Parts: sequence; C-alpha cells; structure tokens
Amino acid sequence: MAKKKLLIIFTLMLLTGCFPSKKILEDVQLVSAVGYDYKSNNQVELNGMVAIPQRGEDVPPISQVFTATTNTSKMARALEQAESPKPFEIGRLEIALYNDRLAEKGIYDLVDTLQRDPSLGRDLYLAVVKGSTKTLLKEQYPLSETPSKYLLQLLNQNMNANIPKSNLHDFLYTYYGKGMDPNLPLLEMQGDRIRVKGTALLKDDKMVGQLKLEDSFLLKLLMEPFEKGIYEVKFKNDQFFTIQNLSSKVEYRFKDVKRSPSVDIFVKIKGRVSEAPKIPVSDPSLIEQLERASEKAMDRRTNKIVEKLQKLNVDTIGLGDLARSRTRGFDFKRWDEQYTDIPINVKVKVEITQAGITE
Amino acid sequence: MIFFKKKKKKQQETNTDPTKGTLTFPELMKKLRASADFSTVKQSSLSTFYISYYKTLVNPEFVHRDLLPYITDIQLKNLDDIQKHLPLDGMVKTNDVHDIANKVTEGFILIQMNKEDPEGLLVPSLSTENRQISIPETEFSVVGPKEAFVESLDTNLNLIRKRLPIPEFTVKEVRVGKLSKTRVAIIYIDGIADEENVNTAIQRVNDIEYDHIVDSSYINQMISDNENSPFPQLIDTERPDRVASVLSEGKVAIMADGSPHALTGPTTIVEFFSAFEDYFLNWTLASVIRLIRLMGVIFSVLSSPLYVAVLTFHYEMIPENLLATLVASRNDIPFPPILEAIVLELSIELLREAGARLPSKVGQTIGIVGGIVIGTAAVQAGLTSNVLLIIVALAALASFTTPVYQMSNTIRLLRFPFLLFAQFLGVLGVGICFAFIVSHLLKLTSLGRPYIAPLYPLRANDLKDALVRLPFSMQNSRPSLLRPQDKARMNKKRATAKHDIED
Amino acid sequence: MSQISENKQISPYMAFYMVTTMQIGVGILGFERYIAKSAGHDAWISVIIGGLSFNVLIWMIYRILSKENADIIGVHKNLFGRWIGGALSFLLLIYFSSTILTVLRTYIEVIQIWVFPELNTAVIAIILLGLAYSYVIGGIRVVAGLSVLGFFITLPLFLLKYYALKNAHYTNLLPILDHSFSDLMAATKGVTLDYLGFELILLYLPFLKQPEKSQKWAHLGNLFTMFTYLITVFVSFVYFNQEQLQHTIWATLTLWKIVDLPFAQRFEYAGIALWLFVVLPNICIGLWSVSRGIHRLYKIKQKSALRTMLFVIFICCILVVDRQQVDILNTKVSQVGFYILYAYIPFLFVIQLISGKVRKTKNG
Repeated sequence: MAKKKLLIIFTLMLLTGCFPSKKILEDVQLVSAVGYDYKSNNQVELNGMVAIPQRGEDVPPISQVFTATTNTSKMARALEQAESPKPFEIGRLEIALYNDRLAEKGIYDLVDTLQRDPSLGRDLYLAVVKGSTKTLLKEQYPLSETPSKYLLQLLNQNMNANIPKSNLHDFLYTYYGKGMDPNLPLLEMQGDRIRVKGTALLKDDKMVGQLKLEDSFLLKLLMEPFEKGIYEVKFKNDQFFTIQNLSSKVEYRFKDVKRSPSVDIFVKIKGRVSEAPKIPVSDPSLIEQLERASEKAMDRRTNKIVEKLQKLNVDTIGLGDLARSRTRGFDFKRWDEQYTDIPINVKVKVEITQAGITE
Repeated sequence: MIFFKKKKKKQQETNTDPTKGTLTFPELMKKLRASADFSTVKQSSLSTFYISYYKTLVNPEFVHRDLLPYITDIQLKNLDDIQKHLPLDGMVKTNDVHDIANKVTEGFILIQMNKEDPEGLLVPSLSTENRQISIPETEFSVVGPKEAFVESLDTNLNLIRKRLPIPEFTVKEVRVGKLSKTRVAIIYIDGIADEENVNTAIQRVNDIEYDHIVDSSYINQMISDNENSPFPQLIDTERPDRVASVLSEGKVAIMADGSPHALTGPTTIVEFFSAFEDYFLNWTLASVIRLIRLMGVIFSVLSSPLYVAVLTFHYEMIPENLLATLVASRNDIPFPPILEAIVLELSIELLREAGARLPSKVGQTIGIVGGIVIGTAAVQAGLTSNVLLIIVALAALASFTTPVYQMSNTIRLLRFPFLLFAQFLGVLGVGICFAFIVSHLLKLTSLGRPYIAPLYPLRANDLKDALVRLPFSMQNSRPSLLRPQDKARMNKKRATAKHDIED
Repeated sequence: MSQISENKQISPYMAFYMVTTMQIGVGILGFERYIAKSAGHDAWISVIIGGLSFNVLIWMIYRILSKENADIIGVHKNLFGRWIGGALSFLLLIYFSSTILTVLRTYIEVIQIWVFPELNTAVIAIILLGLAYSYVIGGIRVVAGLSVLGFFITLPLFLLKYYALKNAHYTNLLPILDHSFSDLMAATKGVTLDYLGFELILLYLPFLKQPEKSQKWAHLGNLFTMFTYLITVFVSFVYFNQEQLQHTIWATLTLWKIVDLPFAQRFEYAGIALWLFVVLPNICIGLWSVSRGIHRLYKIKQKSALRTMLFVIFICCILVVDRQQVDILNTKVSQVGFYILYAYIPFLFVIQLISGKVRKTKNG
C-alpha cells in the first residue's frame, strides 16, 4: 500500500511539469486599452496602453503606450513584445478604440480577434475616435490616473445618460443580427480632455455617418427606455430651457409590414425642468406650453434623425428586427429593399412633472 | 475475515497477560509488599486478623474511623463475622488470587484471618482525589450551565444522571487497557437509542487492544470508523448538559475514567459546527450565527487558495476596483503567491501552536498580538502583500469560530492541500480538491452511520437542526439518522397549537 | 432483484437526482446553437416536446425492467438467451462507455479552450479519472451521494441568469410558432441528444429500493431537466439574437462572462470549475453502471472491471486529439444514443410484450 502511494506521488511529481504555465499577476503587462489607427489599406497601427503600477501605496500608476504596425492584430501584439519587459496579457482589456478612417474601412476583422479570445470579457467598450488613437492614449489627463480609466468612466457615465448603450456584446449583437445596425460612441480629444462627440452610425462594420451629442440623446430615446439625460429646448426668441429626463418609454407600431410598411414611433418622456432662466415655471399653464414646445422641438429633430438614418440606409434603431418579431413569415430581403422609403413617423409626448424644489 | 483475525489475536494475547495466568497467593503478597506504600497491619485485641492495603490509595482516616471501631472489640470467628459487623456495601469474600490482586490495586482493603490464608474479605474504600467541578473552558458559553466534566467517572455520571433522572438512563461499564484497566462507560437511554448503535459502541470499545488508556481521546481514535481520516468522527465534549441533550436525541455517549471529556456519536459533520450555546439563544439568532459560522469555515478553507489561484492564473477574475490595490501590494514582493501564502499560513500556525503551549490563555493573546506585529513588519519589509496578510489573518480567525476543537484543527490543516491544487490548476484545482474531500466525506461513517447526513442521505426532517436551528416547537422528532426507537420528542399537536387572537 | 442486500440499496427518490444529473452534462453549455439551427427562436417548443417524449421512454424502460425484475443484462438474457443477449448487453455497455468518454473528453476540451489552453489532456484525464475512481469504489451510495451534492452545489448557477436577463431583448422570442412543424421536429431530434444519459437506469434500477416508487421520481427528474433546458434556452435566446447565436459555440459559458459579482468578475472560470460537479456524477454513475454490467456479464470482480475501464477510457481520451475529433465523437455517440432510445427501447418493449404473450399461451 505504501509503495503504491509513493508511486502515485512520484507520478504526480513527474506530471507537475505538464501543468499549465502560470500568469502571475505582477509578472504580466496588463493591457487596459487598445487603439487601432489606419496606416494604409492593408496595414493597421496598433497602440496598446498599459498602466504600470509604481512603488508605494499612494503613487498612481503611469501609463505607457506600445505601438506596432501590422496587418493582423495578433501579430502586432507579438511585435510589441520586443519592447516590453513583461509579456502582454489582454484579459483586462476594457476599451478598444478605432480611428475614424479605419472605422470607415470596416472594423470587423479587428473586433473578431477580440471576440475569439476566451480571456476577454464581453463588457468591453468599443468606440470610434476622431483623429489618432495613439495621441489620445499617449496623453496624460489630469482628470484621471490613466487614459483607460478616464475613458472607462467617461463612457460609462455617458451611456447612462446621453448616448446609446454599446459594448462588445451589443456591437456583435447588432452586427450579426438581421434588421439592425451597430452604433458606437464617437470620441474626440480636445486639449487635455476627451469629449464624447456623439454617435458613430455603422452599416455592418463600416462607419457611414455620425450624430451630434444632442441627437444621440434623441436616438437613445428612440432605442431604449432610460432614466437620465438632458435636452435643451428653445422657447420663444432667446428663452431656453432644459428638460431632464426622469423616465422615457418608447413604443413602435407597424402597419402593413408585408406590403407597404409604415412605422409609428411613440416616445413618452416624463421629465422635469431643470433650468429655465427667465421663464416663470411655477405657472401651470406655462408648464403646458413648455411641454408643447419641447414636444414640437423633439418631434422635428427626431424625425430628422430618422430621415438621416434612412438616407444612410442604416437601421440603428433595429426596426427591421422589431418588424420581424411582430410578423409571421417576415421577409428581410424585402424589408431591406424598402427600408429607405418606409414612412417612419416619430411622435414625442412630454410630461413635465416638476420644476425643482422652489417655486 | 478481518473480524476473525482480530479474535484470534486476542486469544493468543490473553496468555501473555502478566496479571493473569498462574499466580499463587504468597507470590502475590510478595509482589505487593515490594512497593513501599503497601502495608499489612496485624490487629489482635479479642481476635486476630490482618488488614492489608495501599496507603496511597486508601484514606487512613477511613480505616481508623469507619472500619476498625466496628470489629476490634468483638469476638470474631471467621470472615463472615467481619462482614456481618461492618456497615459497608460492596464487600467481597473471595479466595481468587486474581480478584484480590485487581481489587487491592484499585484501592480495596484486604482483611484476612490468617496471613497465609488465600481467602480474604475485600472492603471497598476508594479515596478519590477529585478536582472541583469547574467552568467549561474549550466550550465556554455565556449563558447556560457552567459545569464541566472532571476526571472522575462517577462524578461525571452524576452530572449527567441528575439531568436525566429516569430509569432508562443506562450505563454499561467496560474495562479497557491491559495496564491501565480504565473504566469506560457507555451511556445511552434505553428505549430511545437504537440498539444497533449501542451494540456497535460497546463492541468497538470491547475490541480495543492497548496497554493504557489515558484519555477519552485515545478511545475516540481507536473506535473511529476510519482512523486515517483527518475528520473527527465522534464529538468530544466537556459539557454534561450537551451530553444529556444528545442522549435524549438517541445518541450514545462514551466516557472514560480519568478523562474530563465525553464522546458522543453517531455524529454528523454539521454537528461539529453547532455550538451548544445555539440552543440557549433564540432560534433566529442561533440560525444566523450558525450560517455565519458556516461561511467562516468556507472562507477559512478557501480564501487563501483562491487568492493563490486567481493571482497565479486568473487575473481576469479580480474585480475592477480591487485590481489596482492588488497590483500595487504585490508589486515588490519577491515570492510567488503560493510561497507567500504558505509562509504566512505556516507562521500563523506557528503562532497558534506557540500560543497553545504557553501556560495560560494570555499566551494566546500575546501570540496573536505578536503575529500582528510580525505581519506588519513583513508587509513593510516587502516580504508579503498586505492583502494576503488580511486574508490569512481573517481565515485563521474564522477557523476559530468552529465550536469543536478537533474540527477547527482539521479545518485549518485542510487548506494546505487546497493551496497545492490551486497552485497547479487554479480555480479548477480548488474544485478538484473539493471534489476529493467530498468523496472522502461521502465514504466516511460515524459508528456505522453516514457522516454527512442530513445532507446525504437527504433527510428533510433532520435539516431543521443542521445548518440552521428552527424553533423548539418544530423540533418535534428526534434525528432520523440515529434511527431512534421512539421517534417523537413531544406531542406535536400541543406544541404547535394555534391560538386565536384573544385566546 | 432480491439478490441485492437492502443496505446496499438507495432510496427511491434518488432516481430524481440520478436521472437529472445524468441528463445534464457538458452539452448544456453550448447546445442552444444546434437546436436553433432549424427551429430558430421557436426551438424552446422542441425542448418541451423532446422532454415530454422522454417520459414515455422512461415509462417503457420501467415496464421492461419491472416485468423481468432484473437489469437490462438480465432482460437480454431472458429474452434472447445467453449468447445473443450477452452480445447485445456488450454492445450496450460499449455505448455507455463511449458516453462516459464523450462527457469526459468534452469537459477537458472546454477546460482547454476556456481556461488552460496548454493543459495536457493526459494530466487532467488522470486527475479526473482518479477522482472518479475514488467515488466509484465507494459503491452506488457514494456515487448517488455525489449526484445529490452535485445537484445542490450547481443549483445556484441558475441565479447567474439574472445578469443576462438585465440585457434581455424579449422580442427575440416573437412571433411564437413562426416555424413549420418539420422544422420543430428537426430541432426536437437535436434536443433529444441532450436528454440522453438517463438510460443508465437500465443498469442501476435494481439498486433502488422499491423500484416502482422510483418511477415517479425518474419522471420528475426528467421534467426538471426539461425545466433547466427551457430556462437555459430562453435566457440564451433573449440575450443573443439568432444570427449571433450561430456564431457562439458555448452560449452559456459566454453568458457567464458578463457576470460581475462584487468580489469576482468573469465568472466562467469559477463556473467551469463548478461544472466539475455536473460532469463528475455523470462519469461516476456511468463508470459504476458499466463496471457493474461487466461484473454481471462476465463474473469479473467489479473493482477490476472498473480499473480496466478507467485505463481504456484514459487511452481513448488521449487518442482524441483536437476539436474536430471531439465534435465527431459527440455527434456519433449522440446518434447511436438516439437510435438506442427511439428504436431499440421500443423494439425491446414490443419483443417483450410478444414473448410474454407467447409464454402465457404456452403455459396456458
């Protein structure tokens, strides 16, 4: 018996050599953001940002960017290895940025390498950057320790309020899914800040258009129910007021999908006036006027957005998929052909419930 | 097969037993007189007789006050006369040399009419020097009885019997140990305890082959179902109230003379994590405390292995907000996580062991304080990360919440195999190690009953007093694992009768 | 059936756990894709149809076994005589062994894809088989105990579906019944592969106390499996759209990626480790049953049968090298299983009916 046990222990010792190799936390370089820049038709410049922790407890990590040029992103990582003291690990990747020129050419191949890697999460943020991602990642921002942390908080905050939600899963969902098209946040570097410019509209994996930040808010209204966000409305001449969205709902009605479809989108907003200089908001009749004014403004704007989407032939809202879910034997091909000409009507209803804590 | 082998062995050995075999009376007396504390006194007033005893075992006061006054001034013809005149119980008249030898060495007084006459009267006079009954130390409870067992079996039985004043309370006594001849009592309540359990316990105690039994923990190891298991298979308690309570559930208790502990069984693993104090608290509190204790055990076993697994293989699993802290604290450490963890765990064990060997409870406190000082220094010197220090210290703390001492030892040692597996296969290794332990536990039995009941075999009824403790009104039946002859604890209807609002 | 002593038997309700744990194996981690191929978002209906159809099969198996009062080996012997019956039993045992191999190898494959790409197949196979051995030598009680504990250890994994439901697109399930009947039937055929595994009851039924009573539990176990699959399919369908699902090989594992607990994120690593408690009962019940079968068939000691089997499975495990071969193994074994259940069991049922009648007329 003892001999047998010894034999077992001995074999196990021999086997230890075959166990998986270790990736001890401090022995690897964790890439927390990557940026892809357009180089030429076949070549991409890959920038990986790593946060390098510093000695001491209260010293923030410094960020470094490693750059390489190649045609596939895996290769690029191999190239980066030459400069780095530690092996790269992308398991903690939080953000992937795509330069706008690259986004116009198509980004699926680059996203595909990300989705194939089992060590990567699905809540990774993707974003399109106006200009070079390299300069954006290289900059030291006073607002946060590292660019990746800054970007993460920035996108997180904005996706709750102003721009449609979009992460790796959402991108793949809309990319693969029929009757819908992806959108990504559009970023721009301004001095020592990063700004959310708006939303990049993609057809398949190619950027074909963009929306301003204000319009992104309205697009978000059309896409999903949510609870935040601010919209500014012009009320008579030079009077402006802003509405803070407390809760919004969206409803779609499809008519005659099989032959000549038409779509009505109803958006219901419950909000409050957060800022109204020069307007006496305590007056109940005035509140109604404000409601009408904001409805009118939003109606006009949202219909313009929808028109723009149709003109670009992108179905960012996912109307095709919604139509499918309401129609038996839905024909995508027909829908796609008709999409640009379908009459889509947006009707916004605003209900102002309060105007702050003072009268 | 094994059973037969054992029996054969026993038969062979009986011949070599030094206390048995052929022994003549003069030889015995010679042996006894070889000891300095053995004395033989000749009494000759009206009639002559001899009194022999160990001075160290028999209280001289007893001889002079309770024995001699009754028989000195009377005419005595034979031993029967003496027996008639002595107002004492338990006297034996015998001419069996072995009997005399056994009894005298236990503290009986031998009275003979004639010095060479092998026939003698054995008068019991046990002077037992006892410790006072004191407060339970390892199983202390804030509320509830404050009595603990002492080293005398009779006192201990008294402590239990007064809590169960019924004729069904049965004590079977066996002598175990070739040299020590320790009295071992098997205690149960007739009519409640399952006969099979009682028989198993008696048979296992009878089968013990050893020269001396110092403590009940010897018996615990000798009669356990699997001697190689690190898990204790019988509960070792020093509280008479606990013993009384488990006896009334239908368990069997085993006590040895000279040991301030009782063993109770058959036991299940969940019992090792329930303190007797749980029954003194309201059931809601008791249940929450039990769950906390359970989480403490899980934390204690798994925290440092998971730390090693995650830091060695799965950096992706570290929560976002913790990553920076962890990386910063690990940054300058010269050792890999496994070495760091083992060194820290071992030093905590070292401190505990040192604390346990120090004379008083103060020693423990000093040990822990010393540990914190050493730990802080180690972190400042950059030898370990402070995150791991916190984890290891908390894990050690959590392991001490286990109410049964033997089990808390097991828990603490259990994490080392986990650490090893975590080092080789990460989280998967932790899972594999857990599966190995589950396989061991599933095979384990306590007095022939499954060890991890009521989890498996699943007994919903027994779960009422397992991981949580439901109110007494719901504990209407005895644990079915014990197969009690009388299943009901009380009249369920009366206990759970519903009252109307103003009743 | 009476030759098995009572203290070696297990309670009838254990049929519930043993049936469920045998049915739910590695397949559930990525079966959505296959069933959605033909029936799209309506595939959940197929899950129900498949589950219900298996209740009929369970009923048949119980009828077959209770009539002969024996396990399948005894039934074969009674119906076909020593040689043909023995050969049939042998083939059946080979099928059962190959299901064990499939489960083991697929789990190893999952580990290699998701956690440790460079992990040596032989090493992990030795460890897992050693683990299985430590259970199986404990006998059916220990094996059954593992399936109970495994059931309860993995039950909380249901809660993780919450994270997927937070981002659910419920419209994905609409419109209901948008696929033809033949599509649904094709998907049902795919689904049945995931219900396979309970047929081991053919071997271990005599070890259940009062087998008649256990039938209810076996049915319940099957229904629980159906419920589990239904929830899994439902969640995956609302989280992924159909086209994306076709690109996702391990849908459930991918879902675990989004789990973000305050003390750990990226749950799939822990999930795969926990899945050991789903896979292990599978392997152990399989190993126990087959080694028991060999013992019954050839009068070899069950322990030696078990050791031989472990060795053979280990060798086969190493021989399956890459993902394609694992896939082939899976489909082939499932196909055989499909025919065994839907063709052979009814066939046996009918033969037994006929032979029963023949016997009766002869006696009468």
